[in-house]
Amino acid sequence: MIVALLGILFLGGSSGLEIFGVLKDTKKEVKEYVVEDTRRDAALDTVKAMKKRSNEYQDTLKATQKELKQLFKSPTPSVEDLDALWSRHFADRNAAAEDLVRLRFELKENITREEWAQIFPMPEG
Amino acid sequence: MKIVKAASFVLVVALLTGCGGNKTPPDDAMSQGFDAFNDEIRTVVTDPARADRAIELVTELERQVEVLEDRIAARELAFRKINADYDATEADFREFLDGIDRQVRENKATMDKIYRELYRTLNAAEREELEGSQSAAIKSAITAINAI
Repeated sequence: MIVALLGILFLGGSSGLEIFGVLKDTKKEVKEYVVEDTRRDAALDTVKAMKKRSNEYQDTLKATQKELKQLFKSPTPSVEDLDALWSRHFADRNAAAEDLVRLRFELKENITREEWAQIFPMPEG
Repeated sequence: MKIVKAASFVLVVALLTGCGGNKTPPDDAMSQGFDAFNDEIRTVVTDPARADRAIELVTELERQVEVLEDRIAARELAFRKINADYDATEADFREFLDGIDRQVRENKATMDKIYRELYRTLNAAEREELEGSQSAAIKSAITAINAI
């Protein structure tokens, strides 16, 4: 249990990139609010690319899970091995975040200010 | 140290796949899970001084879970705000993501410290017995943390 908790807390809870769900799961809203066909199609392509990149990252995480499982099979997981795994995890996560940010701005290129406000309303609080 | 492979893996998988996210964690279940685990420590670790120290460390772990829960909620709201801002720049996003990265690394350093101290506090037999436990405490903690 302790190792499990530490495993969770080491990585700070979830992957840190689930926040991008607000962007990649907007196919319905883009279809509804972007009125011009050409821009709508381009925006939907970007949403699709976001979903693809996000899924790729999930696949990488699954591979990391397998490695972590192997490490925890050892009576005492080596600190060096764990550090190497976390380092790679951070690098993978940062690369995915960079790509998702780039795609967010690509999405914005095809959406007007007014449409954006409808698709992504400013939250309260 | 023998590790609870199944429980560990379930929890780590939950973390890595980022499951949950918007659910309200069953705080009571988590709290009860930690309390039950502390009771197990009292049973397994017969030296009162070391048992006290181990419980202090586990309590600190529980506190870290609560901090994490708050951070995730704040992170999601902040991201929605920055994304809703049509004029937000790439630099704004990078700064935001760098902040998350710093939080995660901070967590890692804190947890590393707790892990090492807990490891030193318990002897091999105690670690094996505690990690080998498949009690309701573990199940509650798994459920609670999965919901974060």
